Amino acid sequence: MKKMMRNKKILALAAVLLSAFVAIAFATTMIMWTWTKNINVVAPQSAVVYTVNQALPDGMYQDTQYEMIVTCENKAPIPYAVTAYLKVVGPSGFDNNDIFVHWVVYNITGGSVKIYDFTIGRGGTGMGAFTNHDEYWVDWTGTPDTMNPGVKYEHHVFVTIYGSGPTGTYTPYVEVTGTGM
Amino acid sequence: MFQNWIKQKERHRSTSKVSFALIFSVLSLTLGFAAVKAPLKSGVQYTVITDLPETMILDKTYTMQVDCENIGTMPYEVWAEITITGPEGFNNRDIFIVWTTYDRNLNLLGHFTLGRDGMQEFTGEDTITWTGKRTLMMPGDYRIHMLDVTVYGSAPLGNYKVDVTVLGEGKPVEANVIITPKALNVKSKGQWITAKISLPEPYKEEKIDISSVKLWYKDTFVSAEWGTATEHSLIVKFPRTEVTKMLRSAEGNVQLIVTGLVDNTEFSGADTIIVLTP
Repeated sequence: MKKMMRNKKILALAAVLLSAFVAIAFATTMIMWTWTKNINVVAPQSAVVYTVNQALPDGMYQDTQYEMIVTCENKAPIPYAVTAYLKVVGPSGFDNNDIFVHWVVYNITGGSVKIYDFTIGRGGTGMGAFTNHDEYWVDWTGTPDTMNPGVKYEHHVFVTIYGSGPTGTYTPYVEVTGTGM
Repeated sequence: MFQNWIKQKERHRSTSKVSFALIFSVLSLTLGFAAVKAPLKSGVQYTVITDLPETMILDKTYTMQVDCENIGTMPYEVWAEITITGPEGFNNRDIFIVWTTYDRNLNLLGHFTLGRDGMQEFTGEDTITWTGKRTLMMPGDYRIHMLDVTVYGSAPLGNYKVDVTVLGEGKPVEANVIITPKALNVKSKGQWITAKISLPEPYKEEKIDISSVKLWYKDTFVSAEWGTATEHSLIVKFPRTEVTKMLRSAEGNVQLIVTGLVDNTEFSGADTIIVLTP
């Protein structure tokens, strides 16, 4: 009789433990809301904005220096590494000996501090020479420069086509590539 | 001659087409807390007021607004989990979220930042995850979540999949419950089973809606028929015949649960009695 009572108590205790286990199992975390979305992330039109303040003229004399002024500002919230690429297509025979570019860059964020001063082309220093291609066009790639958010630069580019250059139509092309950092 | 002198553009790693899918669902809740029966009315409802666009431009900030309201009687502890899967190389440095929370009167409740240089950060590479802190939403609470989302220019271009999951646990007010008699002989005569209910501050026992008080055993319940508030407790009585009927399959130690509403908020408490079946 006592053994039966003890077994009953054990069974009752087991039932209580089981019901507690079930209750605890129901207490597990519930999903209350889900939201899923696929988003296509695309490049901005320009994180670093460039403005030509002073363009080169449509007609240039040989051995005369002309100045071009370009400002740029990083309007993105993060730094960008920017790299300039220049290409000039000229008449047949045009090469690095026929051009000289003097490039001066000022950081004008809250003042004016010269940060770069170099030359490219015949007798160029620092940044070196254009690369000749097929005897009528040249190109040059700069080194990456990091522009922090809000920073403004002013580029002064002095361009001279030497008397050795063929006369005719020249087509310059500038491309700046940027990578967010 | 030199009219094309400046033609600048920025290159990025890749581009891809848009695909869009929005799954929006609110799951009503029926089970919450250990030793708690189904709430009388439950649910925290989420509504997207302002959605993110299908296409986002790097370095541009987009605002998403999600409102939520606890429309039930059960307090809920809720927290969010965010998972974002992006192209190869995507990580915490590529994203920044400013998360601001207001109440319905636009009083500021909280503010934090998430992502690069943020107060909190995602973990992982390619697929990044974040789990928020738990916050308690009482019945009637209304929250306005404003998320200012920026994908930085350092991020790879392409398709991203964003998954937000809000998780919750029911947290009723924990009541102290004493049920008498402690040993219930189902064959004996008697009129009532009594429960003495005490609530933590700031709840007042006299604010308990007696008609909402129930005595539960597993999935069945008996409603209180009478109640009176004393200085620090509420005494409620359940008809003994109905309780013994509810406990007809029970024997030995049995956990009974008392639930009800105080100020339209669910409370719950448990006590164990011995059911005797001579």
